[in-house]
Amino acid sequence: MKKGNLIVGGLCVLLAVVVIGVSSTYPTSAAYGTGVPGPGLWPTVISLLLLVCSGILIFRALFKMKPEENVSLNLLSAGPCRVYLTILILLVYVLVLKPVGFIISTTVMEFVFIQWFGKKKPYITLLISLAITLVSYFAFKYLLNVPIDFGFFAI
Amino acid sequence: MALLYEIFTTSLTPIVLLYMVGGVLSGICIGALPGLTATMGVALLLPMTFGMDAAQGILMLLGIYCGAIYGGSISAILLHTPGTPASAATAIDGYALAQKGEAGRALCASTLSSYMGGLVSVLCLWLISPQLAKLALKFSSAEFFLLAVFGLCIIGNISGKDVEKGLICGCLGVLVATIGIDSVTSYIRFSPQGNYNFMGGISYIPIMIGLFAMSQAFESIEDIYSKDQVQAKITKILPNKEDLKTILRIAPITGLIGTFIGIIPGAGADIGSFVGYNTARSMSKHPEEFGKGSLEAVCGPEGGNNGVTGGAMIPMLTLGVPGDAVTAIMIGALTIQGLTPGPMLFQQNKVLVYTIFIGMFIANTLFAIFGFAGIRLFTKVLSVPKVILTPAIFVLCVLGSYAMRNSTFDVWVMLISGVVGYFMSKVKIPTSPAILGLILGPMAEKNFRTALLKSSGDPSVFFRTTICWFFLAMIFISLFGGPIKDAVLRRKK
Repeated sequence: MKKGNLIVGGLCVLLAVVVIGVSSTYPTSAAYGTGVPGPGLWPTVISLLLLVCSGILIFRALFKMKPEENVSLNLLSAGPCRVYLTILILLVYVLVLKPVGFIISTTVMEFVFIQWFGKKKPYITLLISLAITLVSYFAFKYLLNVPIDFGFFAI
Repeated sequence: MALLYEIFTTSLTPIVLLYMVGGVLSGICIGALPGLTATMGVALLLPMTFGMDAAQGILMLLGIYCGAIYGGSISAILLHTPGTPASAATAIDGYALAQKGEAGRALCASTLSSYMGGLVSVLCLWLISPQLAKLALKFSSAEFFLLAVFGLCIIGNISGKDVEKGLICGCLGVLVATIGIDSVTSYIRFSPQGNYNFMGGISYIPIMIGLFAMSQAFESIEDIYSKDQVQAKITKILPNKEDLKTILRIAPITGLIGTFIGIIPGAGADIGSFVGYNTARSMSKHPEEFGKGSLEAVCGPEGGNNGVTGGAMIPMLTLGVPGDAVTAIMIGALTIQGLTPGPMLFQQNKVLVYTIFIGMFIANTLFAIFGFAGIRLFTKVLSVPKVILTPAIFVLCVLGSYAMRNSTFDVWVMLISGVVGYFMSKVKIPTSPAILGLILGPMAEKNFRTALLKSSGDPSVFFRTTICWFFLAMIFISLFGGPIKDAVLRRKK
């Protein structure tokens, strides 16, 4: 947890500094001459608050964290590794979604996941995957008028 | 009377009631399934409302909301796993009762208590909202700015032990909301040159779907092979006289307390549930039985969490400030319909507002009816395997985020938010403050700058009216009330 808090704090400090830097290039109140604060003021104020909170988080992680609070995040155990692989598959799915089309890419994605997690007979997995895909396709396309018939293999 | 006639002829039509039935049924199923929360359900099914009119969409979402908060108690009692965080307190004694072979009695108490809590909150919604909306009509930009700041300050109170983590999350939400064209000066902020997706601003609906639905689906992947077993057979679904007396004594009071918790921006049904549990214990003649299977300990949290539902709608409808994460999503639903929640809604869309009031009453009644009639059926939902449910949630998340603007950019936003939400839960950063930041951030900024524009840059505009001073006092109390109270208690000791 300590490492996690330090990483989060560090990333937020970096973000806050970048936002303050970019905001300082925006026009100031004087440029408008109406008393209205410039577009950079609000992000700067929020970034300063983010900076303070991140500082407190880092300080507490370094000096105030009790040993019993410093639990391991277990980011490399089997469960989280399964999540990382899932995220990777979903990234590929979203990438191919538009070019390949909804029905084929979604059926394949569902098949991969259900077969991986459920270890059922492949033809049963295929039937379940097709059912989920088609029900969502028809619900969104015909009931909700969402145009999801895109891609090379669009139906 | 004329208003009621108009509501029943134009707004509360049979098709709307049908949507509500669908909403309540799916809400109970979503709530009953461990891992699927009310927020996730409403976020996932929000895109379904895009093609509906305002009354249909909002009432369906309300059905899901009320149904899911109630549905969470089913798995809390039968599996010792709260279906939603709002039922965590119910699981303690509900499961103990189920182990004693009194699952039916516990389920009956939870159904009736949820109904009582819901009814009290609808009554408060009906009585308080119009008065608050009338008062809010007197608000100018300065008051709305201070109200939004007060809402943002609440983040500290809902962040648990690590206040700075909640504030970090809230700040991130506010910063994301600044991306795109500035509403006051039309200056383009934090957008890559020529990228229209960023210039138009990042919609908070894909972020919500990512933070609340996708990240939870990722978490359920971690223990995808675990199986929950229903522990008890359900008998004796209707209450006896003694139980009925207990329910009627506890639930309306915890429902009322839950309603007031719901009114506080950011405080959700989970807090209402635990406060309800504590209230029930302080009202009980046998507090020693709490934790060992006390019926009062089921009535308290269930009245409390359903009380929050109506309470959370009060600031959402009257001030445009979400009472909890679910009502934050409902603000999105209303905005998509071209409506702006706030005092003007009571002036311009009176029929819709009162339709929502009546709709909430109907939603509560529906889940009570379905709760008694179909409890055995809902327990079957608990046997839907996670290995099929989780991939199906992935598809709904993708379609839900795509449907709003037919844009794959929103799908990417959802996926990234899901990944961020997953890692945030790992380091115990609450995600709800991000939503408060996304909604209240732009409200605060716009009103802050408009107020200064109107006053030609004079900051005393924020101190001119009584309402301003009231909000300044509330901000002070929310920021320093806790530490001052602690210091006083320490000195007394």
